[in-house]
Amino acid sequence: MRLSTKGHGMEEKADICVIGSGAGGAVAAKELSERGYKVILLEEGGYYTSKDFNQREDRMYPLLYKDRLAQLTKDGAIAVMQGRCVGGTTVINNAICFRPPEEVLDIWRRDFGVKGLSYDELVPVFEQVEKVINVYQHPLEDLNEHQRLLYEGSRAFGYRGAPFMRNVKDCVKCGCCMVGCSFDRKQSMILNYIPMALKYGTRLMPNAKADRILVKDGKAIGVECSMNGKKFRIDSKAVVLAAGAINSPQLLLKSKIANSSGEVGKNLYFHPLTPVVAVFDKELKGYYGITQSYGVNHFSKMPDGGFGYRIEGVFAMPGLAAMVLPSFGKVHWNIMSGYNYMAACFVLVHDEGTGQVTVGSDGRPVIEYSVSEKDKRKMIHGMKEAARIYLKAGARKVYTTHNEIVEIRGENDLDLIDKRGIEPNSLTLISAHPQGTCRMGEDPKKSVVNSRGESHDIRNLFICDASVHPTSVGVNPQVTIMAISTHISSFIKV
Amino acid sequence: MITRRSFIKSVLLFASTIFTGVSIPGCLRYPQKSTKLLFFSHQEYFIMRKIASRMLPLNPSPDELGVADSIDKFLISADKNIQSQFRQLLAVFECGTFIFNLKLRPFSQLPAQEQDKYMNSWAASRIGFKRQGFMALKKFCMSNYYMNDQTWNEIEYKGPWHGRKS
Repeated sequence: MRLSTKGHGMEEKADICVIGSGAGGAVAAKELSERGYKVILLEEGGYYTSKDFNQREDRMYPLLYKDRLAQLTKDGAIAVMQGRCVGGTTVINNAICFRPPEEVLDIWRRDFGVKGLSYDELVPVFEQVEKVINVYQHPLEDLNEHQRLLYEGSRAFGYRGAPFMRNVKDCVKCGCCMVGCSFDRKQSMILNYIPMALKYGTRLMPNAKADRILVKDGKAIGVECSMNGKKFRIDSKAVVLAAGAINSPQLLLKSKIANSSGEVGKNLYFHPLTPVVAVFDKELKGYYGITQSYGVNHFSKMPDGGFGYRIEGVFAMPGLAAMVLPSFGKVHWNIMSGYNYMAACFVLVHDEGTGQVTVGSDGRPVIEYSVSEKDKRKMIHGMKEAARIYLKAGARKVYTTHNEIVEIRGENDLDLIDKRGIEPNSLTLISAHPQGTCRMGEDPKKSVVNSRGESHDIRNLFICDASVHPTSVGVNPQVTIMAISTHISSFIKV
Repeated sequence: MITRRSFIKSVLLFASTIFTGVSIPGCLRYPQKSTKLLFFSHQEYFIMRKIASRMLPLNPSPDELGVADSIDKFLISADKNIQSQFRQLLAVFECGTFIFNLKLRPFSQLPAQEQDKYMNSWAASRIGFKRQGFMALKKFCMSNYYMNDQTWNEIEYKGPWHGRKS
């Protein structure tokens, strides 16, 4: 294994420097080193394995999450959950795997001129990725009791849905996916692409932060980095940027490169989501079993033909659950004391409105995003449908996460959701899927990279993470990111 | 014309002035903590404890679990922006009683019922930065309380897989 954690000289040399070790960067490092290139893989976070994952929120959030789970939009209204460790968000996600909808890829081709990424062209790539990360279709029998209630309630209305496909091997169903898999069953990047990349000679540098991409004569020539306060430089023939939809544009803006279009940092999509919680009379212990195992996709298209939302069953550990539940004091405690009787889901909106990432005076990313009126309508529709589903399944009451409590005991109470509406910081909003910000396209005036992932402005600078998505994909995006990274890597020659 | 930005700036300035005023020894009493604080001043620590006591259940008490101390530890290693915003928030929250509710006492000196009412007014406010402030205070309190395993018995949580009681 070639793992570098200390003893860097002031200069390192590689054929290709990959920035970020999540779903995009890990795949690129493996693909490129397999082809014989000398690759250095930089990761800002630490390198942790199942031995470090002790299933404790108080220890794991600071260790594995960006800003210790406190990354927020500028107005504080949306929590942006991203991994910050070797393996990136794949270490802390719930392992859900979807191929991108064909219709979304068609829009990328039609509206942005993206070539070579049609669904049919990507099928062999999906198959390759899915094999490496062991995508597995859970049967209905794998649902725990609270997810089964979501299934039963939605079926009673005739709503379409299915158990999730997940990248797991013999999942032990411990319910702790979001704090790293202690049993090496979730097939995150640290169990496949990264070990493969290391086997092919990639040098992994954890705790190494890329500060600036170096450019000479219109060509990427390396990366200026820091580790433990010490600066060093990597000279390379190409740079692959895969720091995610927040940090990739941040690094480009800090480096003052690749932005002749003015589009770097713009077009931020979020898949904004909001939780809905139901309380049942029977004990459910939602923390037993798979954290996320069933989704309702009936509303993925709205009646007007536009994109809609998904309802996905989920259960959070107590610290996170308490942050999300409504109100405070006695009211909050009354709900929280029913933790064992809760079922929960979230409404994930296929967003059409966008935000942006800029760089603050301290060099940190500034994330701005307002949920558009159209997306608000979808989210409200989704909260109501989630409540109806749970009531149908026998819930005693259902709560949204509004500060001003919304307690739904019957259909007549649903109007309360309209009344409360969606205003910043009036309810819990989360994004776990930031995308866009360095969009792909063939028009250099409207996009940052071309269909091969190369910057329109800087030769040998490639981007292969969720930032290149021209629009949001509408489903959990890790397979899309891995497939596009595989695709882009095949074009990189130095 | 008063813009949103100028309104917020005025409120922050006014609250900071009052906060400085009430912090002068002899003006209002904020107890000193015997152990060393990392980020909070003694006043801020006291205010944080008062906020936690209204946000969280009585048993186990937030003081027993050291909720304000955990927040103090978190903030010392947070980035400078978050640190300064949190200080401003505590100042505005403490002295907002004078500005928004025309009370003669700051939040930490109000009776419990009044404190709850005041907190509710922030949660449901039409003013965005008050809701934002409420959310920030709530998240800090809730996470630092319920991540502590001493609270789990009360909600009958059996714990994560490792060390789970059957």
